Amino acid sequence: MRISGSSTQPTNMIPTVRLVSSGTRPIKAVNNDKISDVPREASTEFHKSPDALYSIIEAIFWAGREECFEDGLQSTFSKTLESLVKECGKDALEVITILIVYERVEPEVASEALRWLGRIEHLESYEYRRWLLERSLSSFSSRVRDGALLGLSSMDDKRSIKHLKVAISRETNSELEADMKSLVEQLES
Amino acid sequence: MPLLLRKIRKSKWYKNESVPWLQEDQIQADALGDLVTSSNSLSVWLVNDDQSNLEQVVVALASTCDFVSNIDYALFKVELLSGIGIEIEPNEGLTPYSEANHWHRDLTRITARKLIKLAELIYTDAQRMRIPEKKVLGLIKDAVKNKQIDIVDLQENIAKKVR
Repeated sequence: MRISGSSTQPTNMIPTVRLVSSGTRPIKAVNNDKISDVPREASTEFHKSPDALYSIIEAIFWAGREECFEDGLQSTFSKTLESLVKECGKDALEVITILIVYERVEPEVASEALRWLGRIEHLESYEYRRWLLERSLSSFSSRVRDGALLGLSSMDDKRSIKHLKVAISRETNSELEADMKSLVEQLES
Repeated sequence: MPLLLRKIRKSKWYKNESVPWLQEDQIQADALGDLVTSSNSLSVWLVNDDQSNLEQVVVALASTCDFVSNIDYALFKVELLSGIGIEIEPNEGLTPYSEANHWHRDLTRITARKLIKLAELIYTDAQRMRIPEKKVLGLIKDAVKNKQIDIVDLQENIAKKVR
């Protein structure tokens, strides 16, 4: 599966997601729905069926498995995710929450998503994104917890301190615990 | 003895409790994603043994990015490379931070077997560290303010935050 479009595509355009090759894992039906069909004036309202949106976002995460992510660099996945959140707001975030919280996507892709959710400039979805990042500090996967930590670091919001302190108290990975403490110091300073 | 710095993602090098089959002394294969070679060479940066140029190297790395983010890196002693037969060659960096570019090096003539040994070296002997996004931004701002980097050479997303 691949997301049509290329890195030269303007970031305000949402690429069409379509099935172009078979994978080894059964994939939910992916329609040719264009998210850009959503009226611009209703940026936080998605008028397509929830199933269609779920399939599209699941496909985007599935395609993300094939990418090699690097800190500081944009990817097709990150550009698509950012556009999706800006276009579909809470509806998109609800699907992303299901995929990440119920561990239906690869930890590396979930981690990349969380890093980006912390840096997207979209005021309407800020509180939802912050909630998801704080919630993801308790993920089973340390890679996902690290993605959440980096997302919160981007937000630089003091209100996350109490959630970080809870996460520190139960963190079993010493390197991650040290990075969490570092972020608490940053937020308290 | 100087050190070598390689940009990584720290979380790929964890002993990950969500990978129950992974034994304690084993590295996740995903970590090799941080050691992608080009023409059998790998980009690294030379860091003084007192780490006095560490921040400059971090700024050089950050200045080539699309946006400001944390920089995770592995830092290990140059001398350890001789034990695994990997050679180092000077190769001027191509970052907007020209003063730092002479610290760039290539690890060359890397075979697949040597790459695995390098991964093991990083796993067992390297310090794996993180410079947070906020500090990276501060370092870039300082470099621009001190005219070490011309803001026009930065990607727009970074330049916007520096202004």
